[in-house]
Amino acid sequence: MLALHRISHHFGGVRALDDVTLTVEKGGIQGLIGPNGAGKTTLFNVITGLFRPSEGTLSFEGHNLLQMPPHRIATCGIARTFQNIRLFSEMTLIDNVVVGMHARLAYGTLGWMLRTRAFRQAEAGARQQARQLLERVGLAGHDNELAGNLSYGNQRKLEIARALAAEPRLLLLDEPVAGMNSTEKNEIMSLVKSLRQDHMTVLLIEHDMRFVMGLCDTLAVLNFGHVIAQGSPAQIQANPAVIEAYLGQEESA
Amino acid sequence: MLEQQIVNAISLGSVYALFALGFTLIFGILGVINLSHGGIFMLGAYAALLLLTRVNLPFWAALPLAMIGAGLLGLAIDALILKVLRKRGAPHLMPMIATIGAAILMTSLAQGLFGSETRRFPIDLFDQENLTFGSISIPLLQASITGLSVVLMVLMIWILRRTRLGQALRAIAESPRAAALLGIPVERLFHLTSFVAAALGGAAGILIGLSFDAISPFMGQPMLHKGIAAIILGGLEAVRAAVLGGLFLGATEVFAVTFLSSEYRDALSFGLLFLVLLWRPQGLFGAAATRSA
Amino acid sequence: MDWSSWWATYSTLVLSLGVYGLMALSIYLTLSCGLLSLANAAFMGIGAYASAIVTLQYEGSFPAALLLGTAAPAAVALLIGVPVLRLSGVYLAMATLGFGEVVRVIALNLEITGGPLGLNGIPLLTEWWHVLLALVVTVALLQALRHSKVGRAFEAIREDETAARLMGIATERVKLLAFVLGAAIAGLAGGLNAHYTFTLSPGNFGFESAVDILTMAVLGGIQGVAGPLLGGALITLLPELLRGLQEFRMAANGLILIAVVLFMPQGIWAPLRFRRRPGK
Repeated sequence: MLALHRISHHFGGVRALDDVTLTVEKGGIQGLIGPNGAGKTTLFNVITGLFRPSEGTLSFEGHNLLQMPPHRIATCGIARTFQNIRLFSEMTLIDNVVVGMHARLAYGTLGWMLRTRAFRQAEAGARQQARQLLERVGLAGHDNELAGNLSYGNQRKLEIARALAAEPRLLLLDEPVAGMNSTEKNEIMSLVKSLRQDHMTVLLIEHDMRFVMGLCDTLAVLNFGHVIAQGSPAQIQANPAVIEAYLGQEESA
Repeated sequence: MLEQQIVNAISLGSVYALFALGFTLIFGILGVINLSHGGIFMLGAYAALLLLTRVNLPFWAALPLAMIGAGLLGLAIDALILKVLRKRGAPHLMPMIATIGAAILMTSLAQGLFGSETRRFPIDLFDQENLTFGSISIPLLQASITGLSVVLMVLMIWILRRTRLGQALRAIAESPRAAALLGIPVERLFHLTSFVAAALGGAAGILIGLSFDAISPFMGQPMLHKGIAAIILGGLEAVRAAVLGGLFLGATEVFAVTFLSSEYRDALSFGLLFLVLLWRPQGLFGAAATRSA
Repeated sequence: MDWSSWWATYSTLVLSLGVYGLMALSIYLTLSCGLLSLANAAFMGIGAYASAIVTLQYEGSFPAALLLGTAAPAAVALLIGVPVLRLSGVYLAMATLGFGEVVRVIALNLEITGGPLGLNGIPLLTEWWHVLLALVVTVALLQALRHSKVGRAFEAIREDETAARLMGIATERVKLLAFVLGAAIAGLAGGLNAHYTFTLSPGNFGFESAVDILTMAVLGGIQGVAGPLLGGALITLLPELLRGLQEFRMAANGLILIAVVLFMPQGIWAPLRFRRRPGK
């Protein structure tokens, strides 16, 4: 459903992505791994339209993403979370999630000005759904707290709820369990697994190998902006190029 | 005739550029729109006036002393107001409001201390001689004003471009946090920048006071508008652009008066400003299209 | 003092309270979308001139004048918004200050605006209930906006524009909406203002008023519509309150601004202050 073909992107003289060709198949959970600075987050930024690649093509369900501004890409069905959490910290949890539904709330200008029935129904429905999403990620009962007051792990959960609120067909998770304890990691793992039933496709970046190997159907390995390997977790674990890339990196990764 | 106007344009433009340079230093390095820069400019002129008339110092001594006085005032504003806001990570509008408060305070104090009427520098400061180059003759006063502002600007640009201090300052302009990680004493250089920018503002005040033969508590405000215009015209980023913007503004004003009429002076320069806003909001000589400082 | 003589003395002040309340709301609207725009005073000026020209020179009706006074600055905002809103933060502040100067100088030089003398003899058409009605409608509009997807988009953009965009919010359009709506409210305030002050001059809407209006919002706080209204009232009343200080009035004004920024950064009306840490 997502196809990157020969994507390159550089910052100044540094090639952050070099000739990356990658496809994400519908319905699966695909992992994107690699040492720090390999270009994984850059790849997410390219997919979501924050960076325009210097070369290559990028399509999602037949749409050419390179001609769309970021908010159109989002409404096409791609949602994401961020490695360095970017919540709206002075807004409540429930408002954060409802912002994620922005494009789906279809009432027009007159709707909110006159507070029409359609407006009130859409708003009430959105809040109802937001509460369900908060419950699903394990944040029930904190609806009206400010997002900035949450613990680190809970902020990551809220980011996932906000991304799910857009009802994306492709969800990009950037280090969803970084900084979490093992209980929280297990919660996130079963949450991501449960997304299969919603026919959602997931592409995730993660350094926690136990998490990645236990969750992903397929993996792609990025090193110095190159894709050095693709395959099932078992194939990746046996791949000499991958072992080479991670050798001596174990400590820092 | 045309040569004469070109000389006038350069002379006026260079003082505008000097004022804009101090303004843009604070803007670029501290990331603050310092609306008290006009007040410092005005008090610089009064400081020189007092040193010349009350203490009877010669001009060459009064100028640097008044500049130091203006610089200390800038330092005080940084230490008492801007530093507090920096520490707090206050949003951009906070320093603007605080410095406009400082500007109102300065104008009001100047009014109370020196009266509202227009004052003048002693007339015998400069000889009434002219310097002649071929067909152009330049009054010594005008030549000195231009010369002084050019020397100060060249000195500043040289420091910023060619010295280690300048390199550190440019790093801070890029990102104060990254600069601090590199071991650059960011706070100290913020203080230094505030001092130097205010000293340049004070010098511009003295030179404008000389060139228009008028000093008043209200001279800061219109100059502040010109400073804003100069750095929008030039470009919001670079020191070079502010200088070019100042020269450009001076030239526009002089030529508008010469070839159209004096009523169109401000209209033309601000009309240009408007076009720049529409067409290149980043400025005529600015590089980056957008930036959120 | 009976009612009619009290009104004769204080009507201008009372009407100004309402008009500057509107101005504070107009800048609150742009600030709530994260736009540090200082063009609102200029938009007020455009609205004031446009509406005064309608009643004074074309003998148009007051509603028509107010309509044009609201629409004209909105149209200008639409025109300059597209390029200028590409800037953000202090850069936007600087550019909008420059725009304010442009408007002042244009008013100073055009024939139809009366040049440096401005317009005189503008009919006194503004009644207290016009101002009240404008305030009520504006407050209702802003409250409805705050609790809709548009208001949430404003807040999201103010907090993190990039994240907002990736949530599917068309940030450019939303920011333009805030800018244009702010201009329309300022224009309405200008139209009302012109029809009780009798005269207009280019200096009324320059740099000082831009800063005054910004101060209203900051002093009051921008966490809701109550803050700007309170700030607008305080700044309008301040000269009256400080009258006893005579020549040091302006100095006190300056000190108050500095003190507010240093010691009351959230403004006076800051309900979120009490919600910072609700028993984490």
